[in-house]
Amino acid sequence: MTWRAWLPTFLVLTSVLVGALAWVRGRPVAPVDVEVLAVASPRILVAGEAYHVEAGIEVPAGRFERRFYVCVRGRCVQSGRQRLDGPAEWWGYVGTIEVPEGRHTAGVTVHARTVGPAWRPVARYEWEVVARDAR
Amino acid sequence: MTRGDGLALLAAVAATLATAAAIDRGAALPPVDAARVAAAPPAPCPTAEPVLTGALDAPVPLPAGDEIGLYTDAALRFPACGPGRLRLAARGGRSGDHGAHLVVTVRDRVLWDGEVRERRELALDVPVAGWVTIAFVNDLYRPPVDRNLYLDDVAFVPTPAGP
Repeated sequence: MTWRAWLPTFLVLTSVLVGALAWVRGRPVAPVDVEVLAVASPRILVAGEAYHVEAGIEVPAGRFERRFYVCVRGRCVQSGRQRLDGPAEWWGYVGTIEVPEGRHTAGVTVHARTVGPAWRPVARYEWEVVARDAR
Repeated sequence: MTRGDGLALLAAVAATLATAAAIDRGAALPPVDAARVAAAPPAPCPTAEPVLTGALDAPVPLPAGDEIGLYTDAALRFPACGPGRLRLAARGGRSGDHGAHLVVTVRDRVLWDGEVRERRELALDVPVAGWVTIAFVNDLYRPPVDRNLYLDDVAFVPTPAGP
């Protein structure tokens, strides 16, 4: 069979995969449900030095789990997950940024889920950082 | 199915999974509207004493008038119910090549961002209501180097309401 003959199969498989992912993600948390209260991180920093990112979020009534991704230069690192009984605020460490000299975009993505297997990004905050030479 | 077809199939599946992973990381999520970040604290909004958060299990009230040493990355936070002036004094400990890095923010605005070595007194205008954070973000403990940040005289004076 030629590649063209397999095209419908590809499309069906892709649809099945996307559908399965949508199903696994389960009951969504609306973006308005989780609010970013603050993100504290330097904008001007020293290249090659590690800086912590602290943040606060607020979740509505219900039982949630949260986790964070801190992304710099396309590389994302996840911090630990924690269960929250809302309505509640949570404040603390969400990740670390460390960049070479130059201008970069950093970002924090908050993921939340209700009880179940499905994580969903619910908020994202981005900022520009400028790293100067360490010398 | 030829070998080429198999590779094409694998490529399609890999592309789908990569897209799903990108979505899962939030890559497809639009940035949060800056106006929504750190919205003003809910009413009623008494401006509270700053509390310490970070690598701690629970917030700790800042002792009034005392110096507080941050020996690990941590942040003070308090709700500012309106514009005002934040006063604080900071000094960095032994720091190796770089000083302790202090970041002060309200909502999405950075009020102060820089290294602190010698004692420094700051008076910062807080232009809007919102959560104010005072964060130490580059802790280092590599004996004998121990980079810490010390804060005292932290006070927020709200701008008097107009007539």
